[in-house]
Parts: sequence; C-alpha cells; structure tokens
Amino acid sequence: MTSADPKAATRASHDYIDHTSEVTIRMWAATYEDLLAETALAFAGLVPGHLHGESSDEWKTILLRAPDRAGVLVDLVNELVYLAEVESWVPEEVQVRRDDEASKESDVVTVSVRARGRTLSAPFVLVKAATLHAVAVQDEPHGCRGEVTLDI
Amino acid sequence: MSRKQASRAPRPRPAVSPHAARRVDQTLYEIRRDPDRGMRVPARIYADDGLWEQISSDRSLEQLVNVATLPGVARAVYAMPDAHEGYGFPVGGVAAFRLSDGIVSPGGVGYDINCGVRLLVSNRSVDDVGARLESLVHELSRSIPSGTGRGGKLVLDDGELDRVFSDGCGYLVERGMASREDLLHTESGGCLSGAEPHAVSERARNRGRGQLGTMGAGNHFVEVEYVERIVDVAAANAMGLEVGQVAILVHTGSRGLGHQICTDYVARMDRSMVEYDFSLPDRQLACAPLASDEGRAYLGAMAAAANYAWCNRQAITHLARRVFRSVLGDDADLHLAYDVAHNVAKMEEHTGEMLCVHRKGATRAFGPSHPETPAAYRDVGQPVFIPGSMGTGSWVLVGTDESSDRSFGSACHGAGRRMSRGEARRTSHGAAVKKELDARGIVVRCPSMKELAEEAPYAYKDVDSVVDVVDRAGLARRVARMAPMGVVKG
Repeated sequence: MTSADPKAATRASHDYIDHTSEVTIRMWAATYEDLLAETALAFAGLVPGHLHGESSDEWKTILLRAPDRAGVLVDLVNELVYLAEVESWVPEEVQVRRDDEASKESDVVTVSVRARGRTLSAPFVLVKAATLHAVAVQDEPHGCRGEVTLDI
Repeated sequence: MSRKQASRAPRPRPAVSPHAARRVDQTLYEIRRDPDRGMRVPARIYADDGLWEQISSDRSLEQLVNVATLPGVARAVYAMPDAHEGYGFPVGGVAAFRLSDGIVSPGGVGYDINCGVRLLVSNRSVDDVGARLESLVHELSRSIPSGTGRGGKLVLDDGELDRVFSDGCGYLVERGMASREDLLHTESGGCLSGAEPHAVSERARNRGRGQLGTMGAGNHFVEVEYVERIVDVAAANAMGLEVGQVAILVHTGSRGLGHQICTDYVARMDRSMVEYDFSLPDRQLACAPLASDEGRAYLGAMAAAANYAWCNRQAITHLARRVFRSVLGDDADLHLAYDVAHNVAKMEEHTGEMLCVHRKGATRAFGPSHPETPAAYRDVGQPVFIPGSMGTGSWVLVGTDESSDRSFGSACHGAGRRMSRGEARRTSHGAAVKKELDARGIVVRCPSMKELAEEAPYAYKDVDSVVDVVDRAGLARRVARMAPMGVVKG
C-alpha cells in the first residue's frame, strides 16, 4: 500500500481502505487525468501477480463517456475488471486525455485512456465491479482527490 | 412519475445513531418512519443484543434508512440478523415496492444475482465415508473449477446461453445434467419467468460463457457435512435427513455474468435517473420505475442471470454426483433437498398486493400454506439454509407462515461478515486457520493461505446466534444442525 500525503497531492498516489465486504481506493493526483491513471494502476495492484505475466508494447485505447467525472472513474474501473477477467490483462502504464470539445458539445465528460499492460495466466480477479457508492472526485488546492468503492 | 431534471449528487443525510431505534421485543428493533429523513416506511432490524451491537456498529442502519426513502416502498424495510453494511442496500436487507409507483434497484439485488445455496442429501453416512473423506474432498476440488476466471467445462455459444437464460434448469434436463425432480426442488423450478436474453449485454455474455459449472471465489464453497442433530423430526423426514447422514452444501451464483448485468444496469439507471422526479441519498441505490423501459429491461436481464445461476449450481451438482459415485460407489446418490436464492427481486403477493420484493443477502422463507412452497414441503414449510463460516457448520430450517407478515416471507442467508478481509488477515495467518481445522478433522482445499485467513470463522458472526434470532422471531424454524467434514473454497 502507498501512504498518501494530501499536502503533496501533485504526486499521484493511492490508498486501499478495507471495509466489511469491499475495498475503497482513495487516490490523489495533480490533475483529473492523472487521477484516472493512478486509479488504473491501483486496480492493477489488487490483482495478485500483476507484476508477473508477459508485458506487451501494444497500447489499448479505452473511450469513456459519462455524465460526470465520478461516473467516468467508475466506468474506467469496470472496464479494467472486464479486461482482467476476459482477457487476463492488467494495465502497467496509463495515459489519459480528456476531450474537452466533445464534453462541451454533449454535456458529458469524455475521456480517452491509452494503456499498455501485461497478460497474466489465470489471474485471480477478486474485484467483481466498481460501485457508485460514495464515489467522489473533488478538486483540491494542490490537485485532485478521488474515491471509488469496489465489490470484492 | 413525472420526468424532471434532478441532481445526481446524493442528498446529504446525517448518519443514523443506534439510539434512533427502539427495541420492540427480544428479537426486533425499529427505527420509526421519520419524514425528516425522507423515510416513507419504518425500518425493522431482527437482532438480539449481541447482534444489534454488531449491526449498529457499521453503516447498516444508515443504509437501511436510505432504502426506506425509495419511491413506492411498502410496509417496512427489514434487516436480517446477519446484516452488515454493503453499498446502497445493506447485505441482509429486504424491501418491497408497489408495482404502481415503486422502483426496481439493481443494487437491491446485488452484483452476484441469484447467489444462493443448495443442499444435496446423500445415501451415505459419516461412517460410510470414513477414510475416503480426503479423497472425496480432493476429487471435488479437482472436478469443480474455482477461482475468478473462466475454466468451466461447459463453454456455451450464444444460442446455448439463450437457452440457459430462457429455460434455466429445464435446459440442463435436456442435456442430461438435471432431473425433473431436481427442478421440483429448486426455487422457482430453476427458472424465473420473464427472462429477456436480448437484455443481456455482449460483455455479460463474454464473462459468463466459460463460467457455467464453476464455483467462483471469495465466500463461495462446496462443503461436505453431516447431520449433527435434528431438532424437528417431521421436517427432517420431509427432506430425507437423518443423524449422521452426509450431505453437500453448494454456495455460488451467477459469476461474472451477474456482476456485469448489475454493473450495466446500475450505470444505465444512474444516467436515466435524472429524468425522474426523485433524488437518492446514495448513488448506488440507482433505480428506475418498475414500469419504465430501464426497469423492465433490468428485470428481464436479472431473470436471465438468475436462471444462469440455477444452471450453475445444477451443473456443479452434476459434477458432484459424478465424484460421489466414483469415490463412494456406483450406488452413491445425492438428491437435491432444495435450492434457495439469496440475491434476487421477485414479484410476490403479500396481503393481497403484488409487490417487487428485493432480497439482498436474504432468502425466501415461505411457510407450509404458501402456494409457492413445493408440494414435498407443504406440511412443513419451504427449506431454508443458513451456512456458517468455514468450519463452524450450518443450519437447515423451514419457513413459517408468520414470516409473511414479519419480513415479506424472508430469513437471513448466512452468518454475515463481521470484519473486513484485511482485518481477518491481520488477525491470524491462514496456516493457523488450517492447522485448527486439521486438528478437528476437517479437510480443506483453498486456493491460498491468504484467502483461508479471509474466510476464517472469526471473520463471521456466530451462526448459532443468528439462527436463534431467526427462530425466536418466527421467520423460520430450526430443523437440523449440520457439522462440517470438508470444504472446497472458491
């Protein structure tokens, strides 16, 4: 686990908080885009053996559209759950770009995520889904803070 | 319901203090309907002093009160004695909604749609199994895929998936993996009507097509147990239970298919909810009017997932029967006593009104008089199974006619977690848990020591206390206590 110092929120970091039947990931980063990237890596950290497996130079592109930033956050994790379970793939390097033009036109938040990762053999993906429970994305003086709760 | 713009941000609510509840009797607490909190009905919690202390120490009460604010909620919302905080609805929560103005909420069913339990009763005794227990558990663990990925022996194409969705266990009768008697002893005959295969996304299909006949992970299990003692002889006879008789308890659900369906529809309803004239205290309560396009689509997909889960447990039964014969002889038999769902929404009639009853971590417990109680149990009531944690045994009960008024005919689904996985791992090492189980002669197969610690008995409420409250509250009646012999963990 990584211990986060909210005062130095320009450095992307995350924490895992245990609950009775789920795990909450709490993230900090300089920007919303970095926050999403950090979330992706935090999810990978929950997959045992995520540092093993065959690393690939191939980049995946994930397009996300949701009514708000928190919705995009949840959708991103759910996309990663799907990829881990069906393609045995977890992200290793993540780049996120927010499409402000598309967002302005349609009143939704539009984000493009590019990720390179590893293919694992028989990964043990305990995460069933990301939930909307207490999901939050908040701007802070030094960056951005987020929280998402995962059903385990 | 009018369609108006509404804020997506949850309306803030103060946390619910345990002092907000009054004790009604030895097994029931109530938080009265409080319009200041937006509650439309009271919240009732079945618990004794000890369980109340546990339930009121997390966010279960707050979540139950939130459910009581939902549109069209009827009579009261209930928490079972094994309740603990979830997201949106508490786990162990029961709520029913009027068809005219009520909602359906995927979070009120849960991600693992139709997670449930079935009891298979054998024609072998503990003495018959004897020294072959290790072999029996080993072969069960080899034959029934576990873990979180695919690996099922049945990989279904779209046409076959559609048959599973539409016909449930009836499809497995065609494939020689189920008998007509199995269907008679499965809730809803192993097939919930109204399934809509086209409402199931491609993603859900991709997650589910290779997982039929697999256990999954977490708290899912296949447990070999025996009848330790009988409390109700007549009900035990109806189920074919005798002291010393070996049985198998199977706990699993709809796997990734169900998880994806819940994910899909929570997202869909979260987006469509702003068009309806209500706001929610928790976004995970995302819901839609029962009569809406979203509501009907979800119910169709949920029924498809429920049917998939029944097929999953039936496929595992088929594998278990094969293992039983190979280890214990060609005449070794496992007959299905009953199969109950504990994460599902069903249309049921209660006091003359059709309601959509959401049970999240709660089972039906219909009494002898209920028309949906199977013919074999019309004299005693519908079987109810309450598993404890690994190594602590489980209980067999039967539903009561009184439960209809007390809990929409519901009882709890298990012992309920009382600590997080992380805390469980910090409490003891998996090796120590295994050593203790070994010392008691319980054979365990578990993917990892880490998971063994997470599923240790101390991580769960005491099943005997939970069942005691269920019995004294009149929700279900004790029949037999089962003791563990071996367990295969997912």
